[in-house]
Amino acid sequence: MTLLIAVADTVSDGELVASARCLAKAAGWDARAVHVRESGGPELGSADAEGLEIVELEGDATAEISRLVGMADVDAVALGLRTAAAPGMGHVTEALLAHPKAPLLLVRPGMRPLTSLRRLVVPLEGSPSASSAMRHADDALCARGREIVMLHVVTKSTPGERGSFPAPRIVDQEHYEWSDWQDEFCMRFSQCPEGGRHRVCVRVGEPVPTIVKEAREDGAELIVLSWKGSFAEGHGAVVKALLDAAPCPLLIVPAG
Amino acid sequence: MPPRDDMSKALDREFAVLCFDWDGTAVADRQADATAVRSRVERLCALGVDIAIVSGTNVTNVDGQLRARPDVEGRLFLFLSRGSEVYVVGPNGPRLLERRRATEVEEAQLSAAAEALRDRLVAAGLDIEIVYNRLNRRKVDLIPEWPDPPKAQIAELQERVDARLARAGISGVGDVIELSRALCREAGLAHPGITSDIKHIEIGLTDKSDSMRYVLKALIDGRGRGPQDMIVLGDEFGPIGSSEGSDYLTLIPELQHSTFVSVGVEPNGVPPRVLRVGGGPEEFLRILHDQLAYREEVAQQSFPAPIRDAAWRFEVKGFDPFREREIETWLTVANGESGTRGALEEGSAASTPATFVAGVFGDGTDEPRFRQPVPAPDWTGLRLQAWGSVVNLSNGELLEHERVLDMRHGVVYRYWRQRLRTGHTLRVRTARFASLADRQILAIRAEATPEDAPGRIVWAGSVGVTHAGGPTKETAFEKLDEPGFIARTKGRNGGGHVLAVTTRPAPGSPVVRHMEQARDVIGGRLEQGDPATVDRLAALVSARTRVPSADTARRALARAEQLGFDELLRRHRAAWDARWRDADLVIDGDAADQEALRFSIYHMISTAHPTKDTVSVGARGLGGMSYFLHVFWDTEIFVLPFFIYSHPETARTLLAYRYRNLDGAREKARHMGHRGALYPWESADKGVETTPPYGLGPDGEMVPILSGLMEHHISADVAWGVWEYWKATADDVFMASMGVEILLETARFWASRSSLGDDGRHHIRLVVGPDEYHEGVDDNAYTNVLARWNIGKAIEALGWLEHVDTGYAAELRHRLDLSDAEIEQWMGVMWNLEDGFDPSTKLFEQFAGFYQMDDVPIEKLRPRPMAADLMLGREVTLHAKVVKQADVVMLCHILSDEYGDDVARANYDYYEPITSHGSSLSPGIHAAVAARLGDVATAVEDFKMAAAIDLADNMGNAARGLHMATMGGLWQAAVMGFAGLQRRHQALLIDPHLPSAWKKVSVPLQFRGARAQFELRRRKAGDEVGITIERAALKVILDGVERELRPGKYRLRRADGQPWQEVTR
Repeated sequence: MTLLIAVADTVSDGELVASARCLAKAAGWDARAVHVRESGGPELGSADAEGLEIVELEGDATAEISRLVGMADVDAVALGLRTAAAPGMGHVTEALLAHPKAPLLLVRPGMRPLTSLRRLVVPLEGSPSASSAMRHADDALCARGREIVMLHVVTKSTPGERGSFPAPRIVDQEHYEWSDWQDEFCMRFSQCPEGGRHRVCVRVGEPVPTIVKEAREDGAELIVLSWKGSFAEGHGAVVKALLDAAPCPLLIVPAG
Repeated sequence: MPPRDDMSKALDREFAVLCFDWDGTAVADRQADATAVRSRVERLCALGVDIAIVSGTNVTNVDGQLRARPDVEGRLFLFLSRGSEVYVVGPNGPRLLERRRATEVEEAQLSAAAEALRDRLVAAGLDIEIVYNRLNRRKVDLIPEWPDPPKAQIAELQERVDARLARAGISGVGDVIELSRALCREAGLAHPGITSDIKHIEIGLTDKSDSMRYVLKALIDGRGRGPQDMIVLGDEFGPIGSSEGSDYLTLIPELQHSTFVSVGVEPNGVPPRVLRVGGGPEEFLRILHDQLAYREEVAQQSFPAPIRDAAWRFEVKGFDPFREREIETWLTVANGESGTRGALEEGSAASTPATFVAGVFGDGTDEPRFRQPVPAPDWTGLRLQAWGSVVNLSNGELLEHERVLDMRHGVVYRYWRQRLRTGHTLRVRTARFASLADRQILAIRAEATPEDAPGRIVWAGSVGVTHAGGPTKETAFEKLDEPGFIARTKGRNGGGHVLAVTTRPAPGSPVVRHMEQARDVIGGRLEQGDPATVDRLAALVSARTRVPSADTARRALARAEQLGFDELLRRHRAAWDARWRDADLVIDGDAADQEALRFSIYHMISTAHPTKDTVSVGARGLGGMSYFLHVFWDTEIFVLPFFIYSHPETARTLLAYRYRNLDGAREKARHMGHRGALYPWESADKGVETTPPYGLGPDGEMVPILSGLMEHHISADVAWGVWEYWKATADDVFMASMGVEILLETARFWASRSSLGDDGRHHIRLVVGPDEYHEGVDDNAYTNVLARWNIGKAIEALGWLEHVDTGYAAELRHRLDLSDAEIEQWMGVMWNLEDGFDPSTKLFEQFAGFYQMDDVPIEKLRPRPMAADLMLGREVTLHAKVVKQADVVMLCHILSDEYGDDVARANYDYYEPITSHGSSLSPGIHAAVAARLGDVATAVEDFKMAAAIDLADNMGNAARGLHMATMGGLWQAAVMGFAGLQRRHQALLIDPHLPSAWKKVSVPLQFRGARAQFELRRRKAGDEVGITIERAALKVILDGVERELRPGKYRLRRADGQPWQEVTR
């Protein structure tokens, strides 16, 4: 598998490249870097970043990167988010999120950079489609010495999708219900092959602040989320809010 | 020739033995393709048919052409070399069984006779050759220039031979045969076998009659059959020219009752015993095909089908690995003795097969320690291979997949079509049940049919260690003497199981069994459309403190094998029919509600054992490890009423379980410094407390569990169950022998548990009521009111016993050391026990200080159901007026003959809005009370909330087990709430409040010796009830007035707000 790092400029995207290379190493992926020079766009800066050669292309960045993402040998993409000074997620990121074809690693300047991957948080609302994040985490990142926190944030609503398994709304005898629920939650959403350590964590609250708080307190280096391609209410809104609020890089995985 | 109809009749039946000639009958000649014959022969052998091929030629010729290889040896026999050799054919080909060897003298005699004949014919001018290399015979060839004339040209052959002989002055083959006999006598052969096929004169030591006598000995007499069980097919029974046909000698007198059929030309007719059908090898193949079809029809029709009525079918379509575990729970087959999850026989990554046995426990090893059920070995494993490929849902493409729980008959059916990666399509059906007629027996019938091409299909039955884990110490396997296996499992410091299981071909299925290592392997080569069907029978025998002997399981399995799957299924279905007759609740108008109720009733009947008092109904039934099969108040308060009114025998047994465990309850009370009997909050096998002291919360944090220490209302719940049973059944024998003692000991506990306060009132402090959000409270109304009631009923019951059996009452009092002074003390507590009731508001304060708790805005408790302690936080719910589940409302429901509608209304209105329904026990009871009070819309909401607990497809609540209390609650809501049929003392109140969607409800109830079938309808502006009463009179309460109805039919109507009127009688 190959992680394609889309570099806007090597000065402001240093953390992006470092984080992406760290993720690639952790997952056993190759890393390639590309810069698409748009007219009026930022200059690349130096021709390599962190020792990684950057291939320069010209044209419309959105179209070029989308094209590259669609190619057989690109399995994930890393992009930088804009700073607070230039708000928004960037037109390339926005376009890729609108039509997700591959996992996206998103790094915002100021996030705790990904220098090693000892702990990642996977928020799971308990629906099958949202569990693609967990499947991806299991497939790519489950390893000895690395903890995956399956974070379930309990809200008043429950997913309507068939096969969902949110926190129980009826708890007859606590000492049975919660251990039963955890066992089934893991069986349903995680098929960790071997070696990795999963911890199920249940919190009550609003998803975004709870995820942020948990990632911060756990010292998580990565948050892995599933994504359906829409910023509409619910899950999509959570993803959008986390782009601004997350303390560490986000890996957005297409849902389903 | 007999008329065609007679021939059809003679052939239109199954024959156990098929005997046939080879050349001219099965094949036209030595070059013909025998593939079709081979396939039919092999399939017939697999179906248990014996086949005998009787031919004058040798094994090289016959086997070289036929090449049949049956899966087992012992069905296909070759009787060759004109009666001199016998072979049996198996997977490795023919094996010689017997050979008649000529002595040197006999060889010389044969040659002498043949040469003498040759010389005489040569002298007459004929060109003749002798074939010497035939076993025990010589063939004199009358027309050497035509080497291999086909049987179809027999007429032409006869003409040419006759012409040759005529030129030599010989009138026909018959003359040559006569000459041969004379020459044999001269040569010294005493009993030669002389035959002719026109081309040859054969002089031999044996002939086909010798073969037939062997067939008679080995396949008829030797296998316990009669000659009428055999059909013999040939093509030359009648004379050929002037000589006997080559098959004539098969007509031995001992076989006069066999059916002889000629497919040959038979130019000169056939002997009277023979039916001539003609048609040659083609007709022969058709006859073989018919023999197959008779048997395969049995196989096709023997696969059972689920009930067609959709209202009895609980269907699951497709396959969703996310939901598979809750589906397995839904599709559990159980019979009170054991329950087996509905896992796929072939397994999958999502499957969790397990069989649980009621009442068999062992010590767990994890912390916190639990007394855990010891799961039985998994008996359901059936692996499938087709076209050399392992068949499962991930091999290729799933085309169709449906499972149906036939609730009427307690059978789970599966229908599955898969296109494998090989490109072939396979259709699979299974039917599985846990016998309700013989509770040690479990069975599966499984069928695999190649849809689009022939192929080899193999079933392999295996016994596995259950997925459920548990404190099993060891599981040992051994092979049965007969095909099958024994698996023995022992729990740690507990009971164990022995499972005997075997897999065998189903009747009519052309597959055979092999034993391979630890598996029953059954398979065969199937034609397209032919099913490979197996029956897997298991006997599971368990004991609470040891592992039963393997012999008990062997005997139980032998019982099952003797009856066979079809008879076992018939008896099982009949047992379910009998149970539903007295339990079915039929709703006309809302299919979802009907399904929820039948589903609940099915699982309650499946889970309870009607006669074994060492077991009860665990909170999560027999379909999952959840709650470790422990018994809670769920049984007495929620599930017991269903059995009281539909199957009192089971209700009695459930209460007998509590009686049996009275010593454990006494011990718990003593341990806690009290007198009397305090039942354990969680009960397993020993009647002692099995609630752990702590558990793990949502985040894996350690949480103290106080229920085992403080949730004492269970003693009063058991007492309530006893009283309710007695009043509803009038079972005085039970009451005298068990019930009174339970009441007295639980009353004694309450008297000792209470303490006199400074206010001069008695209090029961530091308890947990049904509402478990508030622990360590004082004077929980539910607990105190029931405690008081318990004491009162104990005194009343003792008075009754003293009246009906003074001696026994005295003996009981003596045994319990129960003095008048103690009873006086009980009364003091009873009259003085704080209950939190305010007559002016008619409200019960849920516990002392409840009203002073914090208010929580109602919207924070929505939507429901809600685990409020999770959503709001433990600290909030501990100090707030938030109720986990029906507590005071529960009290108003179960003591509805003590507290009228006014009290129920006041408390329902107060507590309902602040009840979060964070327990599965709650919404059903709320529905019952709301319906009783006429709040039908709310009652319907609560009813549907309860139904969704196990059946919703987006919560997965049933993944680890079903919610038995919810099921009982649903039944109570339907019967006592909506149908308004509830006991008031010794009568049944009739006061329906049907949902608008329910056009009609019908339910049978048993009450004090009477059996009453109720049919209730909601009319435009009123209600109508039809009642059919049998066996005894029934007291009912109509408009507050008690009436006695004698057996018969009644119809009652009431307009809204008006009294009941009887319409017809």
